[in-house]
Amino acid sequence: MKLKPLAGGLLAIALATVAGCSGSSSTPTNNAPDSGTITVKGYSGIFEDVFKKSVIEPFQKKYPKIKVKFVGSANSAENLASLRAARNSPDTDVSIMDISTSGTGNKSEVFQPLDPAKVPNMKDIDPRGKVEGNYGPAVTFDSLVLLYNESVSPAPTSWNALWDPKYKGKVVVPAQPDIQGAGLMLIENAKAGGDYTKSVDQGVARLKQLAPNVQTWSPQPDSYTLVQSGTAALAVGWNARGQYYADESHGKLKVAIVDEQTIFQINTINLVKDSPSPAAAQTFINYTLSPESQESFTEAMYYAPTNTKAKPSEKALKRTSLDPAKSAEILQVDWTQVAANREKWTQLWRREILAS
Amino acid sequence: MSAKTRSARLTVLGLTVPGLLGLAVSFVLPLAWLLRMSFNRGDSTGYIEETFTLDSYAQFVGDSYYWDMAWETTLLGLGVTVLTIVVSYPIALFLVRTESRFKGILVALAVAPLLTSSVVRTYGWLVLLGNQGVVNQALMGAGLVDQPLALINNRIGVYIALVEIMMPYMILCLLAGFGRFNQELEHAAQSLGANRWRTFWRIVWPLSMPGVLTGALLVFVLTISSFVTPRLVGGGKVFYLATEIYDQATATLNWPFAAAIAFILLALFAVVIVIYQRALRRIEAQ
Repeated sequence: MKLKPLAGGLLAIALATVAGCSGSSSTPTNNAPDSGTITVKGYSGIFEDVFKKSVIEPFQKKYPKIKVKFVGSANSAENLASLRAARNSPDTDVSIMDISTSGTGNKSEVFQPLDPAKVPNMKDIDPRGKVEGNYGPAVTFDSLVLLYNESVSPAPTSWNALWDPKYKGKVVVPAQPDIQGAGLMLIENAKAGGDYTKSVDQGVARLKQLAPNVQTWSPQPDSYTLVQSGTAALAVGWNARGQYYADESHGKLKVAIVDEQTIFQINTINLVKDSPSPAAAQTFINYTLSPESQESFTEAMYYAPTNTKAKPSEKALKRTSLDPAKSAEILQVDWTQVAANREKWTQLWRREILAS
Repeated sequence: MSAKTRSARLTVLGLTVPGLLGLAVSFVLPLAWLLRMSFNRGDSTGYIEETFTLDSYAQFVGDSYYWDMAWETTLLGLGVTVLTIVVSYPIALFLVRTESRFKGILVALAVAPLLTSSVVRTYGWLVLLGNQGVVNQALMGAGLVDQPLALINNRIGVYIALVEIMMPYMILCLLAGFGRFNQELEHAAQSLGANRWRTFWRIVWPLSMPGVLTGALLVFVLTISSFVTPRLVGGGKVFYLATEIYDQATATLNWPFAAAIAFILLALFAVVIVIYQRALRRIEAQ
């Protein structure tokens, strides 16, 4: 075995090389130039298309010195996982993700607090969207809705439609840890008189009864496509995307805002720790929180504005989760609690709901 | 040791250096990092605590749910391997025997699916096997069934898609294995009175064993480590070790647990490779 010392030597060289590469220097936050290229990571697909057009393009007109590159990520967990993997030498400046996931990012120092002087719009954010310690606040509000295919009539008015035996094998629910599944569980749990901070057993029992109706718990490519094509009849989904696809599909897919409680979904916009260009990144974050940008995104995709000074048109507002007529129907959820229970609930789903 | 052999050895070492360096950086280091990660403690929010604990392994070993998952994974590997051999063997045999002038093209066609990513082929199966897919529409059109059969979003779909995805690998291994024997042996057996069936089982099959075994090893390992196909076709209802690693790493963000399962899967590979080498040695000895 003459190879051994040699192989050991090689390993040592390789180790030294890798160690040398990963020794990153942290960028000072305060005197970085307010220009250059910043990388923003957020949802891919339709969110990316609309966000680029109605937020990034106007921003670049206003701040020609900053170039924004958008990188798509399939979901929040994947987004955070990729940021965490690149923690030693971050290549991303700003990240948009669900609040239950960004909380983990804040706790594990993937993100850093914002400078209130650089992001003055933070003070106008709705209290529901403020995050402690000046970490990235809410940039969009959305809510869980029922999506249905044009073949379904009359229009469903309650979550109970999902349980209708008529739709056996025609229902789509993205399973926990996706918060759409988690949300439905929380809604059903509350409806049955349960308190999710103590137990979600009632919600789980309800979803167990739903299982025979469910075609897939992991829709490919997503719920909207399956409902639109008629592969599925009913699905739970997000209001903003649903509204957008309802227009796009000329009514093949419809959105039912049910007459019951629903949950709020909050996307936060976060500054990555050791971001290569923190100043430009915060300029961008401040812009996305401005009334102007918030209105533009609401008009384009029906995400409800988080800035209380934003005044989108009546017509657009009525199609968002902040429809004044509906705002009493929001189930209060502490997303930190949801995150803390993520693994426990996932295991519960696996064993109790998905297997049946 | 003579000067000549020494310089020959140095040449060999010199030639292996780039490969070894590549392996060290791209394989050994990440594996070492992963092993270290598996001893950390992950909490349910996805927060990772740097420590040294066997918690993740204990969580796996102490839970019958994961034993079932490991068993299902092994069954999937064995099932897909056997089915792939059954469907690939006749094709490979035909490709070796045919005297068609299109032989080259036929071989190329048989392995052409490798040119497309398995993600694309998996989506292809989702379309074909879905409720409104060709298969169900044909069955319903022919009046054989009145409700579409559930061919995706379950285990059946995972098996169908994986067998098709693994076929080119198996055909390639079999083709390489068939090159070893010559048809004269079959003629000899037949001239001595063996019928076709007997000739196949006594001559063709044993002589093709090395190819079959190599193909089986490759397909088994690729199957139990594949996660895209089970995830896309499984409808979130079927769980295997590989999909679990993916879920833990990217959905629940429990990296220590994901790393621990990765090492358990690696141990499963090691067992299979030992079995393969034993089997191969026995065959070669015959």
